[in-house]
Amino acid sequence: MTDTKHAHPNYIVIWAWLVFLLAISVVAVYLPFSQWITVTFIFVVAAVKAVIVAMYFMHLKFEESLVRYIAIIPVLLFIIMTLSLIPDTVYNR
Amino acid sequence: MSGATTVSEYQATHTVPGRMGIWWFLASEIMVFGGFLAIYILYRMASGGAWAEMANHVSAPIGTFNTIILLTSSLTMVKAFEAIDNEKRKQATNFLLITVILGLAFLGVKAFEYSSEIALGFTPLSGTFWAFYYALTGLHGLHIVAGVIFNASLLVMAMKGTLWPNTQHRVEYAGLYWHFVDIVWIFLFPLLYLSY
Repeated sequence: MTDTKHAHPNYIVIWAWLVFLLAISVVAVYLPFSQWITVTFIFVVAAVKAVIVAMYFMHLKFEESLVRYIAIIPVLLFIIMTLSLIPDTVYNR
Repeated sequence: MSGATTVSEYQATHTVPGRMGIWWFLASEIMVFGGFLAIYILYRMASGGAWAEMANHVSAPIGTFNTIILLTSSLTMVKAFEAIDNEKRKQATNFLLITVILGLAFLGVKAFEYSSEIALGFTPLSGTFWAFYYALTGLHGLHIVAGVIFNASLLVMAMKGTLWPNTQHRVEYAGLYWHFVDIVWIFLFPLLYLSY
């Protein structure tokens, strides 16, 4: 079985980072910044957390490129779909 | 290396079909949740802030607590996988057990949250925000239920000892799914609990 072993980073440190990032996004809501800055900040933090989970817990960092494409392409489709529909929201106000 | 390739030799150099299959499945799941999240984001932008009052009634502390539960369950799930890789069966069984308990805890907290919101009169019919709130967290909750069943079945196999020597790699597949459900929550949490 030794040759099937995967790389295992220190998961507890990664978990600690995730909890820290969660904490700063919760605290950010109570800080006196404008709503746009706060919302942008907490979603950037959420994206960073998602990437950390995918890279280390889901081992995407250690996967071959085909698996990475399978994971990334739907995310890009989601972003394109959302961005391309944003102008439409203007007419629904 | 002459002759037939053994399973372990194959796994060392290739992405095994099971893992590839899970990733394809997760790709389709990204589109399921992605479409849903996109509609939510667009409706919310179009509402011009009118949802803030409704969104104010969800409990950020409870949501934060549940996020920590889910993040921790991801940790114990990946530790179970690490233990499998290191041939530590007892440790793997224990981590699977903790993961299942944390999954049930998440559902318990969510059930408490739903009941207290409904008691205050916030049902899926109380407005667009609440319709999205129940639909998104409900769909996510069903995924948690599925994950708990998957993890619990592996736990039972581990306790009986039947997980080894041929099916222990399923812990990795269950883990990939479980971490994906965690990632969905990582986005649902700020979307529903923090952006009021």
